[in-house]
Amino acid sequence: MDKKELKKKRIFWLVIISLLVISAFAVPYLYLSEVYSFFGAFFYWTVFALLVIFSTIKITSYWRE
Amino acid sequence: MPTHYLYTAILIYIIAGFITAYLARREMKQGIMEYFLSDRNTGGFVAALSYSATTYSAFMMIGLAGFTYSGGVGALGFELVYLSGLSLVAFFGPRFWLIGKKNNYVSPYEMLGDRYQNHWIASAAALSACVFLIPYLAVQLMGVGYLLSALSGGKIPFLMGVILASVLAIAWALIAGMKSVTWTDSLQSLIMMTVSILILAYIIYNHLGGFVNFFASLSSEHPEFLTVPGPGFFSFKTFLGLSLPWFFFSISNPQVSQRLFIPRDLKAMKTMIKGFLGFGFIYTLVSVIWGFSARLLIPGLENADMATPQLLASEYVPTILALTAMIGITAAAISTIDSIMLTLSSLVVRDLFNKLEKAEEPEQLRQLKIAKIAIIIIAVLGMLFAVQELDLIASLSVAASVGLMVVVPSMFGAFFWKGATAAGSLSSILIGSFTAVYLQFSGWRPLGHAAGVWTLFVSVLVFVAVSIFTEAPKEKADQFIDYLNEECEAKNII
Repeated sequence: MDKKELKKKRIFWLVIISLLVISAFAVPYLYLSEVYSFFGAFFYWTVFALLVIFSTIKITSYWRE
Repeated sequence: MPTHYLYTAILIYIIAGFITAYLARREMKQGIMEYFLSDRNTGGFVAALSYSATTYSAFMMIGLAGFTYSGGVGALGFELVYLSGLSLVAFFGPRFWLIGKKNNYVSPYEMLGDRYQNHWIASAAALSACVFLIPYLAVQLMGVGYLLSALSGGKIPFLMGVILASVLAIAWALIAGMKSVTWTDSLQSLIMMTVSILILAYIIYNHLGGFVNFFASLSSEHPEFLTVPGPGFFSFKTFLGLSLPWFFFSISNPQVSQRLFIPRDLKAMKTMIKGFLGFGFIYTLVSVIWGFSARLLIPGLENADMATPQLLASEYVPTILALTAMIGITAAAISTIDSIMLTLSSLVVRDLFNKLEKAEEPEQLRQLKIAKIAIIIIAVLGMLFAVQELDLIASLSVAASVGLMVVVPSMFGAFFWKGATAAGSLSSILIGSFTAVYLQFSGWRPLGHAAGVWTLFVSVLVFVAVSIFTEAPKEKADQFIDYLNEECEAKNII
């Protein structure tokens, strides 16, 4: 990958992860505070964590020795 | 619970730990790099397990379960925001590893001192780590003391638990340094995970009718516990104040960031990250669901921290499972304690009393000797703090994640901003630490926000403002960042 491509990918993943992290603060408090079931904050945070885990693993998959 | 069962379980755990530590010693080579970093040659699997065991302490099955018991699902959000902070390692991890190998850094603060060309930065950060992490260590020791005492009905005194945990941690750190720590960590992380899944599955399937019924009971009996702010504890500001410092844990806590130096290669680092993320995700869910189970089975406890010990001692958990759970929680505590002790000893040697310019053989031997003495002194201090059972210790321990966060701006600056300066770094560490301690002890929450939010704000502001008006170590900054940029480009590190 050249410098430009790396920078593009860096910005892309930074934005994705930042949005996910902001959503972990915003969504449960703004939209799910009245959902009294598993499919409320519990489910949202679980999916959020899986998406961040996927993103992090994806970033590491670019690495070459 | 009969005390001899407890003693037998503890004895088996101790023997397994010592066998592992001595096996590690057989593989151990000479030298300071070997002692503190296992010669930067740790495989991915062991690195992942050790990273997990070091990060996750007795807090998970006791403190986090207690948070869930009293505050509901917000505890899950808090801990998963922390886990998401591991995404920082995808950016910082390979950079730490590359520059650590090139410049032979042992401690993350030694790296900061060199990058900013000012040794006082390393000393200030190391001192602040000691101030915050020794009480944190003491709280882990106290956890083992309380757990053993509660499960034996007081027959094993609190003090004996504290001494036992200290002795094991000292031994496993001294036997072969990082190698015995990572190997015993690996054993202990497997124990932690297996045991926690086992007891949770037992409780859920035997007493709560399986997962579907478990969530159905939770939404009918305690619906507010499935929302935030829920029962009240997790107001947005409290949630933010707790989660923000923990998000940066992977680069702010030296016992964790030092582990970014140890993988054998990038492949091992990849495995370490993947392994930790999987471990953390499962262990978090298990601890939180365990806390909810306690809420359903033994509601009405006044002290939420007693939820786990009380549930383990209740009729819902058979003796054999309660024993294994106790070993699992003790393992979680000790694997964190010995890692902190080893890392702090490396900070003492490299950053507080450093004479590292000529790291020839006799100098290395001297450093090793100081490190071993430091481990014992740190353990004794932790033990003394623990037996005092002072509120001050608990407060400092809570302040640890906030206090350690003051190095975060300097870490970002070191890797990504050539204009960052030594004055900016040092002043942000000093003023940030003062802010953390002052807000923690005064209880003052300006605009309702907790110490964590303000500490981060103040340290970032001071770091940037002072850096703008002072001169950066240009030559070193170019050398450091240009080298990393070249390597990152060659290795597709984004």
